[in-house]
Amino acid sequence: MEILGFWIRETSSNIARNRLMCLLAVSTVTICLFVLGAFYFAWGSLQSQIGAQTHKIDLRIILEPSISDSRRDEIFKAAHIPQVASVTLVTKEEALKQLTSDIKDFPVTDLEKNNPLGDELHIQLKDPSQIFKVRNYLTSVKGVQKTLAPQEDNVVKMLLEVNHFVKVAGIVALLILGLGILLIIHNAIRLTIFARRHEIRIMGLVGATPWFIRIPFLMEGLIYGLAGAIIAALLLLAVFLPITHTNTPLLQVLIPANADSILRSGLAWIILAGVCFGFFGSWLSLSRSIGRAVQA
Amino acid sequence: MIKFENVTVCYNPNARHPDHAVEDINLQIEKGEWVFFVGHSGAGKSTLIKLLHGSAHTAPHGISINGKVLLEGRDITHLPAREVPFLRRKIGVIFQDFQLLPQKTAWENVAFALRVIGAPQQRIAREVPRALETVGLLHRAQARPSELSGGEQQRVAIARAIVNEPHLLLADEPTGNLDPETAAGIAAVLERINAERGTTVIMATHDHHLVDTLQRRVVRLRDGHIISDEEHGIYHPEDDIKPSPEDNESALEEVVAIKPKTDSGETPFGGESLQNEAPLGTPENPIPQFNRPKGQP
Repeated sequence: MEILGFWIRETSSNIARNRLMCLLAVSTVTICLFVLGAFYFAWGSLQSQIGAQTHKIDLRIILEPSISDSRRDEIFKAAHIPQVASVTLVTKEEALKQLTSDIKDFPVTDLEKNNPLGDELHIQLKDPSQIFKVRNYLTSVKGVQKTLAPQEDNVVKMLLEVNHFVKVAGIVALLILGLGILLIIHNAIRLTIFARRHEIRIMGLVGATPWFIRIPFLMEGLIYGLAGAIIAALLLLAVFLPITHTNTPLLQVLIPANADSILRSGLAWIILAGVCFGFFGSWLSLSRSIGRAVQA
Repeated sequence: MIKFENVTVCYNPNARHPDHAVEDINLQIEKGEWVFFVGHSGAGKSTLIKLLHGSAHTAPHGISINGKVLLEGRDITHLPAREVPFLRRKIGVIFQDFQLLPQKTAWENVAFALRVIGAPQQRIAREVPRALETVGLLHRAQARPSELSGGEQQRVAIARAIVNEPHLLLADEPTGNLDPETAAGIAAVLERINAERGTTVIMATHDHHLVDTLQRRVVRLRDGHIISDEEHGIYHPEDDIKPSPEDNESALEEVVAIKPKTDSGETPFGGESLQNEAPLGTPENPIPQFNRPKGQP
């Protein structure tokens, strides 16, 4: 407990002594994490919107009209491959009923006796990008007359490519921003170590272990990261919460229905990122600097 | 007991011209003894102190250490880095520049040595006043280093060095920044610690007044070698100054230059011609010696 007290005193006195440095580090982390959070929110919303479109992509399998019920059930079971989320069977009777309800003036009397429609399987995919692979597989199954997708192939392809690009670009941008924050905290702690090199040297001279010396600096990095993250989270909340509940038509188009949950998950990630960046940023600075300072 | 067995230390060992700091040192220091290391700058005094303190291994361009350094029977020559802090807890160390923390009071500076090794508060409350009392500074416990004189600051440094009750006290030029009177006061404090606590004291110094006054064991070093080891020695700093080869060469040139031969074989100063003199460097015609510190123009 006394050691913990010593570390807390050392950390707080260090922060108090280097107020300007502390302010600089926290504000830089705040700005970086705010940008990171804003980017995450924008990226999450865009991906959600595009993702929502891609999830509308599903497959309709038209079975041959003369197919037996047992073969139909076999195909229904065979359609449950790992890429498929759900399979719904629409019998030809249900399909005809749907058709008559869609087109009111359609003469159905004759068709009821001799239904030309086939049974259908409506297939929802887990990953829309697998649509072509699943379609090729199901087309090759005996008893399948044809497969239909709601959009043209090139539209589906473009939608999937845009979705993939946004995902990859977002991850790359998040990594670059994260690396920037890591370097900023790393530099702030290095400067703190440099300012306290005399004290660190004395600690080493009187027999403090390198770990004992490191812990107050790790705590300091953690505090910088956490404080920056909390402020950034509050700012993000203040800016984006009104947007998620907006009635402005343009924003309603841009902001997805689940914007609230994107924002909440974004805030949790920002806090976690702040803590991790603070810890690892100072860890990076300490691994070499402390060793040199102690043994000098 | 401390023992150096055939110790050779070489800085920058992979360079074309490695720097041999000490060579083939054999030395034994008994528990409770007081030893001065004396010699010119670069003689190897601080290297021996660093070997005992476990801080020699961090030379920027590498170091090679041969032989053995034994402290209380334990070989500390190549101590793993993780064990160095625990060695240092048994050793007090003081420096010429005091190495105090300016923002902490005398009390906090002394307590700092115990806090960083995780000592409990009761022990800190017991040992810190005791150490400050030993150095005669209990009444200045709440003063910061900037409010203390040089001698008082060095006393705080001594209190910090002894607060953990070390077996060995290393002092590297502790009186280098102090006037003779204050230096004598510091020496008196160290003598008391040596006598009352039985702490072994090893001091590297240039202070011949201090060495001559105390008349303790004096180990004289020159160019990394022990050249004398006297039980009750005194220190003649002028003995440390020796001519460098460059000095000898320039002295030779000077002798030749001031004694040009005349046709009659005489010099302008009425001396005999070089032709009639014994060769330079022989007992009959020695090379002039210059009391000039090494490296100075």
